[in-house]
Amino acid sequence: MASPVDDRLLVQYLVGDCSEDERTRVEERFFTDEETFERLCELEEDLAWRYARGELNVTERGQVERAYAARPRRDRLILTIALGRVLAEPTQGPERALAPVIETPALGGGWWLVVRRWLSLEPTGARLVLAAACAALVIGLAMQMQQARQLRATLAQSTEDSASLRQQAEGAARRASESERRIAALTEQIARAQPATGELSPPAPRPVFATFVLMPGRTRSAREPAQIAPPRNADTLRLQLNLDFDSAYASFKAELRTSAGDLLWSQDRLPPRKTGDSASVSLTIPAALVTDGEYELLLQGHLRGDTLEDAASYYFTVAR
Amino acid sequence: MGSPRESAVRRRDWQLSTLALERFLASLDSDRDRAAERYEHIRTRLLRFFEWRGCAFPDECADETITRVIRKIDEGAAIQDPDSYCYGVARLVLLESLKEREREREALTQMQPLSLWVDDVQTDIEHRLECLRSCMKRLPSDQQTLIAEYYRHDSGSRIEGRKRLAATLGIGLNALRIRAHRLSAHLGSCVGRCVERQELA
Repeated sequence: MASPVDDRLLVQYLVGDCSEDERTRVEERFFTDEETFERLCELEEDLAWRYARGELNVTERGQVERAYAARPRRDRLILTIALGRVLAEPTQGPERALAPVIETPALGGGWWLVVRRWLSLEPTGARLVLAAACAALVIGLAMQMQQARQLRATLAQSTEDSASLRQQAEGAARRASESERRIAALTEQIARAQPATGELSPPAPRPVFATFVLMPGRTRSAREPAQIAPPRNADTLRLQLNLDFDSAYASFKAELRTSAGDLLWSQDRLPPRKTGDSASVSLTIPAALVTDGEYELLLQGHLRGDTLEDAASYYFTVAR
Repeated sequence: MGSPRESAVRRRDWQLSTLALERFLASLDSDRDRAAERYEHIRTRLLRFFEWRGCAFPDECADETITRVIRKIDEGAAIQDPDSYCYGVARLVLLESLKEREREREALTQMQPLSLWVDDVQTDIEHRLECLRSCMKRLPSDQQTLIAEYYRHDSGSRIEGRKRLAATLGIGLNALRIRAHRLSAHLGSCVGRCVERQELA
């Protein structure tokens, strides 16, 4: 087995401060060796956080700024730093115990000075008295820390419960609002379908369906959003979401959001179906739900244990 | 094999098919699930490789690399070590991409130089913090936990911490990294959209 690549070379690779031969050596290793790739990713995170904390010297800062000057590397650096900050905030994350990722560096030398003074303290009696005082202080601190830990655990539990309740309440409100919207749309359709008593009944208007096929996009910018132009008299939109992967999910949940991220509609337990060589998921949504503008459809797949995982996103623009 | 001209025509006319994809996956592993996992593994490395080498569109370059490898396998090439083979093809794709960028360099030099880099970064971070908080809140709680735990440990203990996290979740370290990568990419695009909306407003 080849010897591990040392961290210094990996950091030089990240900031582009190595020869072509060294680059090739690093790349050959991380393509075939799990540990090297993992270490490289870890060093990149460290580099971003050290940069954010001002721990790099002038040369290192210059190298980072040159290497990360252009997108998408610059975006990754910024996201990594921002993620570190957000995860270190007391309100973010499932519990406060998440280690603060960006910390103030510890002050060096303080403890060593105390130890040196202690070693030089005379006479021995004074040293013993001080030792007893220190022991009492340590015991007191330990008890306080224990209490603080218990309080933190209680607080974390309460925060978690509160977040869970809030999510349930938001979910219920959203479902209620969606139901109301659906009922209103149905009522309108029924009213249109039922002529007033006594009138000659004209032929019932046939519901108009508009069908569109959407391809997934990894990001909004990766591909121009699909343009769809449903007829103005369309009652219902049928969207066929093509899957660019072999579906291992038993069913899907779809969420339709505006470009501002507001949830307009969602449906769960949508089954995939075979479409030629690939698979797709079909949705039927009231046409009145979408006006002219940009939309995102997020498709999540059900894993074992009912866990949901992001499977694909579809971006489209409606222009009537 | 035919003449170089015939080969070029074949390359031009070749199209990605389900059968070709199946052949590629079979070359990765006879077990379908493991092959899919290995594919993700290769793609993650390709993305980072192109990113680290300064490619402007790592997604496109990674996809182009995989498509070329699939075509090679479809044409009958026997590949012993797909990881190394993909790396070899990726280097060619990178060179082509850099040549393309060289042609654009002239136009880029006409653009305004970057202003103070550090100030820009600090401003960008501040802009993104609000968006990131909002995007994090939109994640289901289990995914919030996963991303927080994934980035939790300090340098030195992070790999061990991630191994423990993978064991707790009952998945492999590679699968954990792929999930974290997807989540991070999802957060990145969510933050990007949010910042775009802020700029438009």
